Order: sequence, then structure tokens, then C-alpha cells
Amino acid sequence: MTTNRAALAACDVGAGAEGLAVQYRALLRSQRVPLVQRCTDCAAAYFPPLLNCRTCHSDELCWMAAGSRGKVGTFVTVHTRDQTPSMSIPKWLLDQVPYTSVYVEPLDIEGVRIPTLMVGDQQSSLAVGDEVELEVHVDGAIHAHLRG
Amino acid sequence: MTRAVIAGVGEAALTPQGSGRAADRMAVEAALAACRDAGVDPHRVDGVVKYTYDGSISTMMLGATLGAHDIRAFVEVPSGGGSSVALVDIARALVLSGRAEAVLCLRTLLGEEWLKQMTMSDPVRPYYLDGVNYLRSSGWTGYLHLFASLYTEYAARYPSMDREVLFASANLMRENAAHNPESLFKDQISREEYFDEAARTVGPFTRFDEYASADLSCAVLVTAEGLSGDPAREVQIVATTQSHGPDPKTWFDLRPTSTSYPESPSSWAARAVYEEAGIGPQQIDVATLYDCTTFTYLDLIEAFGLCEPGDVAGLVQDRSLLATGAMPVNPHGGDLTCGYSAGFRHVLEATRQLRGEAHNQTKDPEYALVSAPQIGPTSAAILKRSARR
Repeated sequence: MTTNRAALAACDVGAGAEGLAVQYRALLRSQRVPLVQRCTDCAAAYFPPLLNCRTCHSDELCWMAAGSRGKVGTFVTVHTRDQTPSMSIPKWLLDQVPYTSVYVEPLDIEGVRIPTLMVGDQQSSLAVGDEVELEVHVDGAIHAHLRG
Repeated sequence: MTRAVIAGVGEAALTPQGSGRAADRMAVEAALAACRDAGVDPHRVDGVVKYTYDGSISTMMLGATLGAHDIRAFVEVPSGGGSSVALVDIARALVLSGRAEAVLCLRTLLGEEWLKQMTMSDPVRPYYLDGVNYLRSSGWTGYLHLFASLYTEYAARYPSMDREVLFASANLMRENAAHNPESLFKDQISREEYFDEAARTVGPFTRFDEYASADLSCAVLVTAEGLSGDPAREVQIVATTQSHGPDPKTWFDLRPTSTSYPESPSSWAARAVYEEAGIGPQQIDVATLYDCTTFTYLDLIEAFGLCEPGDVAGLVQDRSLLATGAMPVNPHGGDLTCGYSAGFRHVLEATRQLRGEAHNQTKDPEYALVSAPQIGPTSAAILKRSARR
């Protein structure tokens, strides 16, 4: 749960949960690397971020690069383009169906999973525990690619 | 010491969604039905517990409409399915503390409205935004996404859990439903229909793996023991709990970002209720488990120790989960066939089973387990039939 990677920016917890999300999106687009939140005082890592460290309750938190490699914790493939009352597919992904949401555990950050996107043929051989490479696109979407 | 019981249950007649009925009037009907069932004068209701997200009626309006002499506690409980048993937990606490003696818990749902709420943000649920902020860019579609991700993680560990098991699970619950006149889906699904690629939605699921959608209103009256007109029909509440689990998240849809599996809010809740009840899973005679998908309740069977980890596919295949089987689960057919009640109707079914009054009655049950889903916050209870029956 703890890590010592370098901070990219301080988390603006004073801006509240919505402010944190705005800061996250901006940083993801400018740095183009997957991010997690880390406590500056006790080094606990979180994702999604929190308004203070839930381990030591410090408000000194920072954004940290999560590295570009991880392991598949779990995943979900969307098979249909039909919008039904119980599911709402993001419009920008409709022409990518089938696509897969992959929850990735960064290789050296324990206890954290980052939601990512996988498209294309590689989905058919995807399995829990697989190693993936992460890449942040211009729009801020984090794409996962099967390694090897 | 005062003990708390479920003295009465009641509901407005269940119909498919789009009935056009007024939600507030349905809530009043259910409340009066629960009081009538208990033989308790509605004027005596002195506590109301409702879901925050249930906008059918305010606690103030309900109190005024019942003509309650003196309501001493109004409580609203957040969350959706996770809170199904939390209402009973809180009502019980009010009774045990002496703060109230007749506490009405209720849930009204208009199917169409609920489905709309599922995919929009709402100021009453601010952390829903964490779903939008951190999951949407990876293609998150709503609650099915969450339960499909739990399925994937389970099936990776126990490959016996495949789509054949979900197909059998859907039909088992429809077989239970066939004995319940109130169920909306009683016909068996054919193999051709289920495995038609056009029926697939998200993850392992098809359109047959989701809960039915109905207009319904359910009420449960929790009272001090002996208050009702018929103590032999009072069902004892022997254990209740709520849990946010080992890795609490700011919104339940974030659960796939947790690495705690197989520990979950439900594994924590299971330990708490068995410890308080002083019994083990082998003493549970019937279970009513949250079933928003055909996988959700199967995973809960294991979380609550009703079988060994990895063995639930076998219980489905040998039909143990039918009302006549070795481990009856959701004898009424659950929310999968009766319509989504956020799992609250499971409290009514467990009560009816322990009174021997259910449509699809199991054989002489003494203990019933009721549980909300394996995401936090969750809740669970163990109920016991009256010693006077």
C-alpha cells in the first residue's frame, strides 16, 4: 500500500472532490502517464483519490506516476451497442464495441487498481493476472495493451 | 431486556413498471398493510426509517397521513441495494434502546424512474460523481459493469463458474417464481434465447441476467416483542449488521478498483451476524439474498458460508437452491423475477417463510438469512421464527 515514487504535483484537497477530479484530468493530459494519489507523510497510495490520507489523516497528498506496467485485476467486456435503461455506454465508445474496461494493478504499487480501456483483437485472449502496458491518449483515456 | 421483532410486513400490489400509480399513495398502502398484518394501530407508529433515494413520500407526510400520535424518530438511510437490511438494523436499534416501540421501514420504487436515476448524477448522491470522474473514461456503463467485474474475478479463481451456470441460475429462480403468483417472469428461458449473441450485454451477462423492473412498495413494521396482536407471528431479529468492509470506497461502483477480494463488505457482515446470532451457516434454513444479477446472489451464498468457496456452481447444477432443495435461496424468485426492490422485498419474503405463510414455502424453517450485496455499504440480518409457533 505504500510507495516512494516522486511526486508530480501536490493534490489540491482544498478544492474538494470535484476540484481533485479537475486537477487529475488536467495532469493526466499534460503528463500523459497513469496517476495515483500518494500521502506525502506516510506514503500510502490510493486510487481513486481521497480528501485526506485515510491511513494517517494527513492532508499533504500528491499525484504520482503509477508506472506504465501493471497486472490485470479484473475486467468487463461490453458486447452490445444497445443503450438499455440499465446501462449507458459512453457515446464516444459506441463505435469501439466490443471494448473492455480493465482494472489494472500497477506493478510496484500494492492495493491500488486503475480503470483503463482495451480495444481491438487482443481482448479475446485477455485473462485476470495478465501483464499489460499502459498508455495515456491525448483525450486522457488510459489504454491497456497486452504485453508480448 | 426488550427484544425487537418484525411484527408485520405489507406491500402495495406489485405490477410491471409503468403502472401509472402514484408512488406516495403506494407507500401509504404498504405502510397500512404492514400495520394491519401486525395487528398494530397505525396511530402507534413512533418511528419511520426510509431510504434517502426513495422520493415517493417524505417521513413527515407519512407520519401525518398515518395520524401517528407521536413520532419520535425520523431516519433516512443512504445507498441503494446495500441498505436493504440497514433499515431493519436501525429500526431494531431504536426499539432496543427504548427510543421507539413501533418503527415503520419502507421502500417504494417505480421501475422506470429508478432506471433513469441509475445513470444520472444527483446532488443527493454527490459521490456518484466519483464514478463519472474516474470510471467513465474506461467505459463504465452502470451497475452491471460492477457486478460483471466481480464475476470475472471470481471465475478466474473458480473456472466452474461459467455462463452455463448463470443460465441455470436464471432458470432456477424462474422455477421458484413459478410457485409465486406475484412474480413477473415464470417461464423458462430456452438455451437458444439465452446463448443468442444478440442477447449479450456486459461481461458474462445477457438481458436475462438482470432484475425485473416493477412498480412496488414494501413496508416492514419492527416493534418491541409482544406488541402485536399475534406474538406467534412475530419474527425475532436475532442479528443485524451494516458494513463498509475492508476497503471502503466513496461510491459503490468503485468496488472493482479494490484488491480486497475474496474479502468484501459481505464477508465482514457474515462474521458479524453469525457471531451475534450465536449460530453458524449450517443452521440457516432459508436465505433471501440480493440478486440484481444471476451472479450476485451466488457469490453471496459463498460469502455467507452456505457452501465452501468455489462450490456454488455445484449447488446450482444440482438444484439445491430451489425451495425444495437442500439450501433454499430466494424461494419467491427474488428481484430477478419480482422486480427490483433494492433487495428490501427479501426482508418480507424471509419473514413470510419463518411464519410458514409464503407462496413457495420451504419446509419448517427456523432461521433465515437476509443480505444486501457484496459492495459497501452493505447490511445483513439473521431472523428466527417465534418460539410460540
